[in-house]
Amino acid sequence: MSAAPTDRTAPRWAVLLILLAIASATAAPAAELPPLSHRLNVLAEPTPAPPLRLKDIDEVEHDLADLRGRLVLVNFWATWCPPCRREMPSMERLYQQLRDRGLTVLAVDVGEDADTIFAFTGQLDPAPTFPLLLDPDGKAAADWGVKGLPTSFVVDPEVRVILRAVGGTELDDPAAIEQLLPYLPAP
Amino acid sequence: MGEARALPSLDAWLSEWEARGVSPSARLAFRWAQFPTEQSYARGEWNQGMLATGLPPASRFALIARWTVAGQTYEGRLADVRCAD
Repeated sequence: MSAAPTDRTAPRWAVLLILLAIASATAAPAAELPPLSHRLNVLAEPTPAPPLRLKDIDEVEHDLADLRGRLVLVNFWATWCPPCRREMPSMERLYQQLRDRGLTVLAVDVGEDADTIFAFTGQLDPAPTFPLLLDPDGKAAADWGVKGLPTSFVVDPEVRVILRAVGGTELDDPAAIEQLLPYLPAP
Repeated sequence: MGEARALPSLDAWLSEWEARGVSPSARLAFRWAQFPTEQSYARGEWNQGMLATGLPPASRFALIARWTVAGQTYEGRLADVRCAD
């Protein structure tokens, strides 16, 4: 369970995997995976979204500023992050349901290269069809105030952050979709 | 009952890895794999991550975490954690 840098000269060091689930009142058995959340949290006040302009794994540049008028889900993740891996298929299902109504999904990988990402997404069912952006130095994650992965934000058509989810989330859960529909045009 | 001590800071770990020649990408993975030392959670939010104690192999320790909900501080203790030999 070590996330130690791959350096053979590094000393042995102790790591401890811990979980914190604020909403859970009862402790789950140690071997049980923590449940994914089922909804997003409404920010007390919408806040202007930080800039986000990154290339995807096909070297196509995406700029959040160009997406004014659309609802955008911005997800920060990495392939080595277990809850990121678990929530990724739900993000694709969400995208399939709502993209024609105006939802854009931008998944920002923190610190990995395109080959690493492709090796992971090729195993997924459904595989992601939304852009997979590269944040090679973690600067975008820092600019967005991300402290742990995964973290997702929903940006409204006026480019304001309105919803947030820290930790793995079943993003196509009906409760989560219900939170997004008011910001999308009627079908 | 042994002494209580804070975990080594993330910056201290990153400086050590850099001094040991660990690649930037590996240092970045280490940084993001760590459990956040401070975080604000709304209902239902959670994190999963690593804590690096810096203790030698075979050490035994208790992990104490503190959190605040609505102004009230709580404390949880994970006792008798044993590092591998």
